[in-house]
Amino acid sequence: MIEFKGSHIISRSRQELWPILQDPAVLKRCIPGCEELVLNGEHLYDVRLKVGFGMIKGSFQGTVQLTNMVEPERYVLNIKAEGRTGFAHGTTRIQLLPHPSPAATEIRFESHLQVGGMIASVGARLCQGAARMLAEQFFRELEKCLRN
Amino acid sequence: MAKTAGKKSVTRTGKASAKAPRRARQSAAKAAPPASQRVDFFKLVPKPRFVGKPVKRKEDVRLITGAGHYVDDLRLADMLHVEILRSPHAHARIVSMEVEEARKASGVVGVFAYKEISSLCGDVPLAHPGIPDLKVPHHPVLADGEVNFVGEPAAAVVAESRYAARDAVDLIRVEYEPLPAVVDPEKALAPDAPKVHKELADNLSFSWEVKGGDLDEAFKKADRIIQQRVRSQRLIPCALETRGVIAQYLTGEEQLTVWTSTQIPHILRTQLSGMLKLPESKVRVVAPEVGGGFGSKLNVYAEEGLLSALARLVAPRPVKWIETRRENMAATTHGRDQIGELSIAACADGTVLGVKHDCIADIGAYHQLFTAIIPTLTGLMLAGSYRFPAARTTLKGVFTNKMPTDAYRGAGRPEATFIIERIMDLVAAEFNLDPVEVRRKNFARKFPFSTPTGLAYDTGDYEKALNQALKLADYQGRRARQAKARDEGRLVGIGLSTYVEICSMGPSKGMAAGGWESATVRVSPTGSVEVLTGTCAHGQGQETVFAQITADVLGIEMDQVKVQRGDTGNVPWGVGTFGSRATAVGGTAVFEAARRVLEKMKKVAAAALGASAAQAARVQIKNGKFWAGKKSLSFAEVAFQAHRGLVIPEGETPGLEATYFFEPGNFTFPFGAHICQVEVDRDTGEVSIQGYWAVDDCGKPMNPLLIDGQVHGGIAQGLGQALYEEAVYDESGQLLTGTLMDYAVPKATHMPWLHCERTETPTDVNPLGVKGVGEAGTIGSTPAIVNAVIDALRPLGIKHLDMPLRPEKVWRAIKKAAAAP
Amino acid sequence: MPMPRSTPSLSKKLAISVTVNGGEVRREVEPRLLLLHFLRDELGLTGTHCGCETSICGACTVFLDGRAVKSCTLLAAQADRRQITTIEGLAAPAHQPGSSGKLHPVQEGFWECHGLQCGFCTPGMIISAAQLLERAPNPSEEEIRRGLEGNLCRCTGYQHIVEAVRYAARKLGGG
Repeated sequence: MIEFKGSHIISRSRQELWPILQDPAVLKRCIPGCEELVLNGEHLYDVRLKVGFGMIKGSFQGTVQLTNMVEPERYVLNIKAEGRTGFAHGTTRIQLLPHPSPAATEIRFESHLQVGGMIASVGARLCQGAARMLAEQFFRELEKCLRN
Repeated sequence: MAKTAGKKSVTRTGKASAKAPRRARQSAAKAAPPASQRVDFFKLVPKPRFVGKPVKRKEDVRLITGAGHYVDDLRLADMLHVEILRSPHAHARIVSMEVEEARKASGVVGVFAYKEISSLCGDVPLAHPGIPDLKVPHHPVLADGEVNFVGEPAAAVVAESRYAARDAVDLIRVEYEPLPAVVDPEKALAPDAPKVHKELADNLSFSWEVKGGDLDEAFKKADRIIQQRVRSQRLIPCALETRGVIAQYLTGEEQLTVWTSTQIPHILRTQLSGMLKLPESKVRVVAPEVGGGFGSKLNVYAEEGLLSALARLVAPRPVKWIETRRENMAATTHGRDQIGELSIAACADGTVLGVKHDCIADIGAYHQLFTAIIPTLTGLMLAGSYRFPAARTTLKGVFTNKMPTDAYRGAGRPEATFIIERIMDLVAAEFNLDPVEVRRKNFARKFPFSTPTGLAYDTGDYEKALNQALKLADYQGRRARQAKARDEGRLVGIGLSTYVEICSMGPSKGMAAGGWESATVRVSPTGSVEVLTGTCAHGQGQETVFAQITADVLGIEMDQVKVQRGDTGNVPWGVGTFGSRATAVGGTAVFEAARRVLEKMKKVAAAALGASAAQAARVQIKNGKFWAGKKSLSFAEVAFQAHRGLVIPEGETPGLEATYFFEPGNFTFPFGAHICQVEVDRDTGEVSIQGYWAVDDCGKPMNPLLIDGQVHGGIAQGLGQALYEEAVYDESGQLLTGTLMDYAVPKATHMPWLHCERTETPTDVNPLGVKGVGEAGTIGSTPAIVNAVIDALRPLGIKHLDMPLRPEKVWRAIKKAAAAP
Repeated sequence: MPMPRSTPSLSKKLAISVTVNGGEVRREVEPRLLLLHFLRDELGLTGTHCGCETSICGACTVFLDGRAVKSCTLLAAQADRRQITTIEGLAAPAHQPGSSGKLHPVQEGFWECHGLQCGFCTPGMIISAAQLLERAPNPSEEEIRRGLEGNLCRCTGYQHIVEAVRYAARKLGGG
């Protein structure tokens, strides 16, 4: 089980961020290793990712579904992905909190992911750190996106 | 392993009663074969040239030059390769499996799942342990709609090359519906716990009990009742050679041959014959060079049945599967995994009156061959080397979504020894006594000794081994220096264990598959000698030891003897190598067969030399020649005459070979004393071993060099359990120690120099006087090391820690103790 | 991991030329072929063993240009135009007809001192020990243990291996 949480401050208001965080084009650019991300139903995305955990690299295929949506405050990502090197499923709660400075939002996230297969038996030690790194990468890319 | 619980199952004496099955009771005197009718080795060969000497091994030249052949080194013409798709889930339903893409991939011959295999190969079998109400779930060789542990085989790909097979495995699409996994054996017993097997009522596979003596009396009389919970963690055997199987079915000859890395080729043949519904005569099992086993190859595995079935599907092409290390960690049997709740009735002078032990054994998802039997051995050996009158073990075997447990070096006895040796130290600490004195106070001293659990120990002198170890380690001086070190604030600890174990498995009444062993000694017309043994060495050096015995009996050189093992095609029925039985039981069979060949050769020599009846009765072998009166024939000449057929003595037939099946009358009970000194780093919790001394008694030593090797290797595995090793599953049943990067097998730098000596207390169970030594080091070392660490931490008020004693755990305990008021 | 996966870009075979145990061999290999599998499956040199696939256990240790390396994590292609010595080439085996009947001193030490049991780790262990003695002709016990840290043995507890290396050191004139 990988559990991690964190927060990031983005210089956009919650109302501005809400649609951006659901825009397939944006998500595809920001999610590390994302090779394909298409909307396939209401709040349901098909994804293909290429991710490396230390020595284990692999491609994962799966779905991400958004549920419990309360605009513009919060939603839950339900993740289900499988690949040659294992699987991951679980949830990530996303909260968009107003930030004291105007036109900024604190994004809080809390993930509970169950991983199995080779990523669990070989990469377990690395998963936590890797997941945190991937989250950081996501927000870095998101900021880049917003600047352009 | 010993069948311990069945009807007529164990050699027992005394007032023991086992609630679960009725047991054969037999006095120790009756258990030993009548010594009067027996020819002992050292009587027949008073001055052996080889036995007892540190003879270099016969098997080594091929192994040090890379010329030995393990399964993966065998190459058959037209061989196909198998790779297995395994479950990534601890517990899941297989909703669908798409194999078309894999089937079409380059080089692929076929993709097989349960429905293709089930008609050809039945369930993975178990040796019936004789436990009533044992619940045994369906255990197919490929998952039947549900997977129950990470690594369980779900489908197999057969392809032209290993790489092609591996590529195709990735193309199989399985949709799993994850089910709740049961990981903690105690939680598994809760009424609302998810079930590992939906067809069973709950996760309890079996309950079992052994008890003897008056426990109520013991607990009434005790000055204090000490309670302690102890755990023997789950371990992964990690033989350096992983498993591997080659199978070939010749349709015309109707002959299945299975080459596999196993400790028990004959038992495997019988079981495969049952799984495949082929008569045994059509199944040949060959164990080529086997790269270590430690109990993990004492089994019948799904893959052995699967490959045999696949061989029939692609006949006559052979199929080969070689386990990867990741598969080995996940899907080769694990060891230990017992939790024990102890109550100890003790007197202030250190006398132990009785022990109650409630044990939960986490057996994993299925029964493998001896899964249920292993923890019963813990109950039987609970008394250790002590004479406390009352003991009871209750045992619950619990299913979880993990790899099944089974034999791992020591198999039940390391757990028992850990418990009883921790008990001795807990009692010593409770009453502030020297642990040496507590042991002396409780030692069994009269042999044969009857334990409250119903065993009859053959011979022993526990105090002698202890005294020698104390001297070897300079115990008194060491304690004095420890006191000084403690004054300086250093955490120095000294620990000991005075173990006894149960070996040379064993009398057939205690063994599911029979406890005897066979040997054939065959002399060719030119005088070359073949020894065929039913044991199946995988590093022990039986090729050497059996050649020593044979050469001494026949008065020839060891070079003239070739020991063969591991092939059911040429070896008479055998049992195998495990439970420290090979020399004591298999070696005795070799001795008896060789002795019979010798007797016949004497008769042939006398006849060929035209000796008088008086001379014939006194044929001697001197300098490799048979002497009758003043005339002699060489060994080769006698061999030739036996085959030439012209001078066959009265009542004999031509040819020169003897087969002997040796049935031991009892188990043997080797023992010893191990002492360890450690220092714990207060800042990091790291344990460093400052000295290790061991005195072991395995009866008559056959080859001291090889005994030292067994003891050293055993201690390394015991040290691994004490300090480093643990199979870790996370709460969802994922194996986190899935490679040797995560599972800490001791390295050369982890081992201290081991100072080893021996005492010699022969057994009367066999004519060699041998007890067995394969597991002694593992059994003796773990508690000695843990006792030393706890002794080091005693000034901090720490009384017990669970293994493995890794720095983090020790460091946390030190911090917690420091923070305590 | 045990077998690198196939990808279309890597499916074209490469011609390599390697000197193995003194003789030159030329083969066309898949780029993903591990050196270990090249030695075992292509050349039939099965003395080099596979124990863990993660370069922890050292059963696959061979000399590459005189340096002990783990062949389970090298590609055959990486050995192109280089020299390899495996256990089979360390000394001519005594029992092979026509051989000089000599063992390498380290092999001799393992035999004399019972430095092996099941023998599976032994070829790699011997190569690493030979390397160790080239670097430190008269090693202390600690140096031997450190030098063999990359090789796992589950049977011996290492003590007889330490003695075997000392024996070889004496034999080689260092000790």
